[in-house]
Amino acid sequence: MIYVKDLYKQFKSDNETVNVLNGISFHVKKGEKIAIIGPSGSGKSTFLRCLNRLEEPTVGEVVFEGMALTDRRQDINKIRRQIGMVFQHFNLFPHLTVRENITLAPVLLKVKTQKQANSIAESLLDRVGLLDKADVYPIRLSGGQKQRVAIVRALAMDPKVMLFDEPTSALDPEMTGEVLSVMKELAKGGMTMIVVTHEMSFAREAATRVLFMDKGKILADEKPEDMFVSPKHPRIREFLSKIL
Amino acid sequence: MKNPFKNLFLIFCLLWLFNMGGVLARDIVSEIKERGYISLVTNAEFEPFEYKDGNETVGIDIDIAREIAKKMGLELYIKDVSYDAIPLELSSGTCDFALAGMSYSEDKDKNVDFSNESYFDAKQVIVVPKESKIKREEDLHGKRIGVSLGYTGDFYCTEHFKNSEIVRLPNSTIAVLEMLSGRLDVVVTDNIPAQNLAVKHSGLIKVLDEYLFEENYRVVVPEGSNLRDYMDEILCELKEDGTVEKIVERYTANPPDFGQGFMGMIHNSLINRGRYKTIIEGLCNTIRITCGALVIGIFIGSIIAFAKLNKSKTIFMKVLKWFADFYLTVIRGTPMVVQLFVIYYFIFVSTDLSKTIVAMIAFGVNSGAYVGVVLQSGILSVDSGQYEAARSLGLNGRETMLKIVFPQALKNVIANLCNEFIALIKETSVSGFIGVIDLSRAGDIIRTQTLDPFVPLLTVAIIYLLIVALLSSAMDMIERRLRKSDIR
Ligand SMILES: Nc1ncnc2c1ncn2[C@@H]1O[C@H](COP(=O)(O)OP(=O)(O)OP(=O)(O)O)[C@@H](O)[C@H]1O
Ligand SMILES: [Mg+2]
Repeated sequence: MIYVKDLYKQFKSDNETVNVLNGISFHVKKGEKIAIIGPSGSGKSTFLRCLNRLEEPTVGEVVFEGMALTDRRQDINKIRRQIGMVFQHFNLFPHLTVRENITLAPVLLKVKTQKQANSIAESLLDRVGLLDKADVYPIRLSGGQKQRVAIVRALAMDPKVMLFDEPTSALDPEMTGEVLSVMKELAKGGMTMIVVTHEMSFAREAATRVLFMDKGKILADEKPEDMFVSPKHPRIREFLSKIL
Repeated sequence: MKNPFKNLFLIFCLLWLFNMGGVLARDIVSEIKERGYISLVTNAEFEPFEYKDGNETVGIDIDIAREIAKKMGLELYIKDVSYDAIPLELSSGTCDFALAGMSYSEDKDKNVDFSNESYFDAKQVIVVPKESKIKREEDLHGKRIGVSLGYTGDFYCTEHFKNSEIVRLPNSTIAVLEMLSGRLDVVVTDNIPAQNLAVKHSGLIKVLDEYLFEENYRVVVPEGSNLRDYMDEILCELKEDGTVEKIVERYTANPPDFGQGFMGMIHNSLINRGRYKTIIEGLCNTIRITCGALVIGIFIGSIIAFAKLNKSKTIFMKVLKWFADFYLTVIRGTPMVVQLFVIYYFIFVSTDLSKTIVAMIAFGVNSGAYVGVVLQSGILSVDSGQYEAARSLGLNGRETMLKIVFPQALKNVIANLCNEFIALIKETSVSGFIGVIDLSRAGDIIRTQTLDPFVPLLTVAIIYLLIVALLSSAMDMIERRLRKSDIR
């Protein structure tokens, strides 16, 4: 479903260049749930953002369902509709109600009629237990509620894959559970997911593969049981011992 | 009368450059006769020579101009502009001749021609309080003398009474009020306004018999044409057959009615001769100019904000960015009046656009700079996560801007935009400089007619205040609606 080949990313500022991604190749099949872990600054977010071209790769190829994202001739906006993304800081649109947040894109992009979008929004909100919040503004939601709405917003476009960038890192511990359970629910439903996370419980229980990234490279790409029970690489052992 | 020529020296030099090519001794007379009308330019704030009666421009000069047009067998068009702008109207070719109580002086002669014949001889007289010890010209030495800024009385006194304190005031009405409150010893002004003021403040002031000097009002025409000789001929005839004399008498026989007491003043300033109509006309123009300018300003401002924030590096964007910077620097670095003058006299000099429209454009162009900066800061204040979230859903750049970024930016800067709007309303009060009758100018016009500055000034101030108060509350409402999403 997604092929990534020899991906490099440099950030150039006035006086220095930072090599953030140093040759990443990887392949996701439909229905896989991939957790990406690794130390801070290792390039996880940058990598994830390259997958829907929020970040422009410097070198390399990203192919989604046979379409090369890195090809300038592709209409990136069309491709992005099929790739949902959930951010660490939710990024709900504060000037719109929850319902409007969810229905804006499908209706504006003519993926759905307003009516269809409304009913989808309601059934999705019902699934995450927030139907009663449909007509409030985001400011009145708690962090966990916001993130659940953000997930619903992405799902309302019927994406083929969902990208999550540390969806629970900005939440108080008592709220991470509600978001994680929505994500696990989603995983059970067969959604293809790529999740950058520090939440090892999710990686262990819901992921089919775990990627360990360090200094812009994938150091390990294994089943969760292999990664957590008997990590081969000393970097990974060090990292896991710190956070577990 | 006033001397507008000095402070406009620079604009003149430019105009001169524009005109260099071809006006020497042009046969304007035939040109005018061919097109069938002649256009007069004047400044209708100098009763009884030229002033507004309701919406009509009347006065001695106007009637003489009518006689001139009649002699030529032409229709007469009257254009009312600020006094300063009259020479520009002539040298730019917008108007054919001016009668505006103008007398010859050497430095005025540079860019226009004065007729040799004069149609009226005005005296500069001395006005003093009733019981004043000042009896003749030499008593003025060492006194506090009130004059109208830029008028010939100003120049005369400045030159002749070197050890006196010359106080330059906007007009003789105010000068007399200053004298009555004891801050001046004497006022020097034109004969006719002086007589009227003496009637208005009868028992309090008097006009001395001895006058300072005489001025000869002449017809002014564009430089270097055969129009001057032609005007001389006509004036000669009009004087010989007594037409001029009759006209002058018609306007000076009875001094105007000034109204007694406070209510009388209000009645006189607002109701007599339908003067409220002038105020209403001014109000309508102020509103029209402001609204038009607002639309233009938001349009230009959006383009400026777009240019400043766009990251693309195409040649077109580079040029647009450069232009935006240039525009911001020029507009924010120069006074509004100058921008208005330049737009009116250089950019729209040869169009038929009405002055109100030109003012709209000028204020719109001005306002665009401020709106642009405000919008730019508003857009920058929106978190980049908003942009990313919208793009990740598949919205393109334009949709993201329109649906996500702009509404939030607007909410963040709506208070600043409202301030800009309110400032704009008050700023339009300089549009009188190109002769648009806006609210402020309507007040000025009434003031020159009634010789009472307070009632028109107060009326105008109250109307501005009401508009601004109304707008403020309307904008509060808008803001509250926009802030709906901020309430927990
Ligand atoms: N726009 C940018 N310009 C310059 N450098 C950047 C930019 N974005 C990220 N970086 C740098 O790239 C490196 C990797 O950043 P990235 O956000 O991908 O790390 P991460 O693995 O997601 O870390 P974390 O766990 O803290 O979120 C960091 O050193 C960061 O400073
Ligand atoms: Mg990150």
